[in-house]
Amino acid sequence: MYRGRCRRFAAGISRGVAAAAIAALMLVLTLPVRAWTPERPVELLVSSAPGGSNDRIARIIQKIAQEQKLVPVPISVINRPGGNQAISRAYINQNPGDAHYLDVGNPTLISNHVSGRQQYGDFTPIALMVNEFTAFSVRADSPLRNAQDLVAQLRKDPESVAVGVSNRGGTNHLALSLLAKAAGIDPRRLKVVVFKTNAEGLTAMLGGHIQLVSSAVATAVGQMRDGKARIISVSAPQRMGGDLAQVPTLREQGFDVSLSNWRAIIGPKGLGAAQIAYWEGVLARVIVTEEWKAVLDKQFWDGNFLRSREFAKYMDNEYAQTKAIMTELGLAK
Amino acid sequence: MELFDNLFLGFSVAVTPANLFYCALGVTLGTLIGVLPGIGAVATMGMLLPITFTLPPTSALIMLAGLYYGSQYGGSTTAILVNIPGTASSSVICLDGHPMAKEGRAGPALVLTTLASFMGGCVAILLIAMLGPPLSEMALKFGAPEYFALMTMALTAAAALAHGSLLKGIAMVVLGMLLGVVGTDVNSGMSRLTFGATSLSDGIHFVVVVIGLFGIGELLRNLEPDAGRQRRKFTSRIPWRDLIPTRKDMRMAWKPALRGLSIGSFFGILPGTGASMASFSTYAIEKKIAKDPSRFGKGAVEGVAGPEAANNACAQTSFIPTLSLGIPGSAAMALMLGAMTIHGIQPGPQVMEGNPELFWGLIVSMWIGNLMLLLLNFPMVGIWVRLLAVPYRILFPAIVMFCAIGVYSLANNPFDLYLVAGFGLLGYLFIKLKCEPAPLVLGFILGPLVEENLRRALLISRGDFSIFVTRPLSLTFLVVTVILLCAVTLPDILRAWRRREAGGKG
Repeated sequence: MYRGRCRRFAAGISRGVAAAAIAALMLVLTLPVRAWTPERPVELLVSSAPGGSNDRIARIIQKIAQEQKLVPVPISVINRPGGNQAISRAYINQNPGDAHYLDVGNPTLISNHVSGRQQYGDFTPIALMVNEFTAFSVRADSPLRNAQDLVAQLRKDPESVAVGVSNRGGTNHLALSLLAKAAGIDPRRLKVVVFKTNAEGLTAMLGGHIQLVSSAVATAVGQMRDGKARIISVSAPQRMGGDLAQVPTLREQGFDVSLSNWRAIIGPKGLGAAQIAYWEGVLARVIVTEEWKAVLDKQFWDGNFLRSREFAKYMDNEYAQTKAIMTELGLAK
Repeated sequence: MELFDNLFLGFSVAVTPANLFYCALGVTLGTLIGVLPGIGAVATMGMLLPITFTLPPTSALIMLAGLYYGSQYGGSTTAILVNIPGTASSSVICLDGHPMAKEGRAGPALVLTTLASFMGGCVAILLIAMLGPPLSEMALKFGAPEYFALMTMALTAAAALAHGSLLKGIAMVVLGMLLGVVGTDVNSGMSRLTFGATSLSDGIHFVVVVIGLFGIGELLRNLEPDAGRQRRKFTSRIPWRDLIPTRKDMRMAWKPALRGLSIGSFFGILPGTGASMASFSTYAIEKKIAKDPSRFGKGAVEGVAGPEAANNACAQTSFIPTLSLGIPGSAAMALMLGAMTIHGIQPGPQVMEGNPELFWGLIVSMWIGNLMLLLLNFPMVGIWVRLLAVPYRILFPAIVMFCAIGVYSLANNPFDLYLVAGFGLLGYLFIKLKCEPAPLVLGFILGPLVEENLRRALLISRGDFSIFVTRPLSLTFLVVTVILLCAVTLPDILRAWRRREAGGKG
């Protein structure tokens, strides 16, 4: 079980994991583990409006689970946008300990705690599904050809490059800030222009109104294929494949920066070991399907399946890095 | 000619029994959700998405697209009949459509909106087919300063929306802008005017405001003791002959419809503006250029035909940036792109070359869909008008229920229902105070966009205001704004001046 209460978040994770491990071990030793299966239709929540990455991943899991009959009951995807994800979190936690309610989580789980913007209750991590990386893209005729060019330009004048992001303090903004920090530039001096959606930022970049867009890789690839834009670097730890095989990572270009906008499945607080195990099992079968793999390629998602416990540990590591850079940006509480 | 080859390819895809069926299904469902107040295309497309998983991609997209543009047809029906817009963009139709119904002319109003929709839709599709890619380049010309100047121009035109006191009109615009900034500020990520309520942190949904102010407010007024007498005229049985518009109506309507579809097509291409802005701007322009603006708000045919053509044209041309740039201009278009990805099509500029049968099949299906909508909506006019004869004690609760379902479907959040109730009371208060809700709605849409783009432009220019006047497009819009301002205020100032002159002599 995972208790992620606000202030105790970072310390709480490891303690919570240890406690959960001991509890699970004791359960195994003392009781025959009773398997859990859903009896009613399952609600898979999406904390944003239809159309984005969170929504897409929920609907693809729904599709595969239905078609392959991995779950004996129907799964419905329900969008409850708002409150920087707090509304959908509050909704699933109306039914603590009930694994008929699932939600798609991403790094906002962490950044909301750091910014003190929201204090939502506990949740149970079930499985990390994919990593989505950030692409830095420029117009095809831009003089910036790689990350070094960008950094050199920023050193000369941090305000000479207007960068479009879709959410201040979001992963794509943090990735850029981490790059600036690694190059010794004050990330607060960057000229960050916030757009409501990545699409609007991309339009402004193609029109030459801003110089760079920091967005999800998949958002930028279409324009790159069409020869209208160039991706100068990605925030992946290793070289990506397909269309991005020619694009060097930040690390390859000498900046020790990698950041993922991961997507995960979480549940309400207080899920039992059998419930977690059930969904881990279902999701583990989703990710081996050909269809899932095809979607990963199309979306430039990096399959990184972590079960509940490893996922909690993963967030623990993410928390420190996120908190550090957000503090630097003045976005931490 | 290449266009004909492409259209031929499109027809060969769209005119298969299966695709015709999905097109018909999409537009029928679209009409239905358009008629039901509040239930929007986005929520319905989201719900239907899982059903399309098993369909071939082209059929799935044909159906989803049909649902979207079909909803624009139906949206004006309830606006005319009961003053509740079925979709956000048809709230303008309330202004003159409902007064027409009150005069017993609901039939002609419905026929006119259907014709205007058809005209708007068809011409916009032709635009997509012939000029799609070059037009998409236009979206790129618009940076933050251009958006700011354009929105300011539209906001100034809003003064034309108010009939009656200009001061009240301005007060309503300002109140609308205030309501519009509720929520998380895009630039800083900070909450504004939310009073700590999580449900307000994403702002107030446009549909909530519109249904409350126009719909519930009007319903409340109809509960007044003497309202029954006023209602008698428009609930009385109307002979079939009176359902069709007169020749005079048609003569008055076609030019506004043409202007409306041009304005609508323009706004459709720009991401982030949308059909509501298109129909509001068209209304403002029609009122400005009318010989007798005082007829507006009392059942002017131009105020119905123009905006209706605009929002349908906008619904069609919004496919241009989506299909040819891979950039969705609205939530509904983002969902279309999402559907494409789930069906294994990488959205983006390469769709047209990589999947020509999908692209042209979809375009041709839109044209067929519009024809179906025309055939579907004409016979319905008689049925809709008869609906008004339903006793109010039955109609009233039914409308409230449908509104509630629609509003809940926006974000599955019960809080929105309380908000609608609150805006309903406010709407009733406005009727009593003789304040027009239309300028408020426009301020609500444009206020946040003006602010967002102003700040974005100044951020890019490092605080230098000259960015607005050194760029030709932006300068043009601002000059037009000044001219509009003069046109609105000069006559009054001159009159006051002359009066003082006269007073001085005497």
